[in-house]
Amino acid sequence: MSTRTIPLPLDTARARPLWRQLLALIPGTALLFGVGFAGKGIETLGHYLRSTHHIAFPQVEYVLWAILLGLAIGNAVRLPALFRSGLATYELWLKLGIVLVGAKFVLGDLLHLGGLSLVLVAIELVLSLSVMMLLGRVFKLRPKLTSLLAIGSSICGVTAIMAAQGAIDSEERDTSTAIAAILTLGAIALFAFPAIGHALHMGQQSYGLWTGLAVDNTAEATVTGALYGDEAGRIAILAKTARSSFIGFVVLGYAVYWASRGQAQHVEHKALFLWQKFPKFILGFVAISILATAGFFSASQLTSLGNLSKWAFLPAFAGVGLRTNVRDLIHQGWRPILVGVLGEIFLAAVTLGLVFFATHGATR
Amino acid sequence: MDPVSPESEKLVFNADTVAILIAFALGALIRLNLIPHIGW
Repeated sequence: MSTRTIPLPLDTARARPLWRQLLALIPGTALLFGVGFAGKGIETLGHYLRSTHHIAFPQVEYVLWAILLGLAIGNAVRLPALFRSGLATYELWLKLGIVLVGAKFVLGDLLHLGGLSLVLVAIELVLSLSVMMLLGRVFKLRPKLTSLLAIGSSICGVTAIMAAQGAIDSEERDTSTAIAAILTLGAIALFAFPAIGHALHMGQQSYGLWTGLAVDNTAEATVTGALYGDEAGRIAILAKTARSSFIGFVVLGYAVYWASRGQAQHVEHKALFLWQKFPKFILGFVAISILATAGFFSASQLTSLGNLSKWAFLPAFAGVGLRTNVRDLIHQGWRPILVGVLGEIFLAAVTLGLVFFATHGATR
Repeated sequence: MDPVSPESEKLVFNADTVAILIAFALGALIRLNLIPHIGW
């Protein structure tokens, strides 16, 4: 067998008819939209109270409200399994938002910033993979757990780990530990990155690039960028998608490595493997950008598409909060988290330096 | 009841494909002025 897909759990709903599976999405999806819209509603209410009644309501962006509401609900109550299927659709809304935000980039910007991102990503990849492998050895983590942490921190978090799980035949416990570590670090980044960005007086472009390069999970990178501003959010998405495009190459590298040691399946059709692992939504993002550049949409239509992407991100932001369970993260053990934290601090510092030099060079 | 963890749940459809289809459908509706304006 040339490639392997992640096996579904035995109790999966695959045996159920499609209409029942789609119906099962409704409660969780409604919760995502409810929390997301509530975040937007609170921001609007706050603006109204401050401007009309001069009430000192906290000036907090809808992004943070959606995350905080999600975190509060997800951690205060144990949500019934009824919501499980629908909550997983946060991935769909996130990807829809990313595809639509392609309308805000003309192809020239996409090539310039995307090209810059690709160069920075290549450097970041080599450094983060090396450092994570080194830290894994120092802290005596299981080799495949170290591989998963390295893949997750260098590319795109949970998606990369899930893609690698089948390719390197890792154990279920290693996968869940690596995912928990990456999600913990993503949760920390949500609050740490904007604070650092403001402290360093970073511009929207520099901060967006830095976030896209350093924050692991696509959802968290999008949110961390958006928390700093609209432009930073868009640049973060661009840098993150450039990083995500490397997923196939890195996972293939690890699959070949573990297969050479007799601990994973051999990959026979490497081109097919790369295509299967490539995040296809990036093609949609580029296609919308090409249409926007070609003048297919008027200026007001482009504004509408940009606004639509914001509406699509709302349930995705809510999903980031709802799926972050602090108790579960704490119970994963300290060593993988410590390795992740040390690796991420290194990565954040290095990518900050890279962005500083890249943007300084660009403005000269 | 099991705590909810979307990471353990796999969607019954391919999110990439569906996201692209929805985006293009919405793009077409906006282009044809069937959706005249989306505000924020």
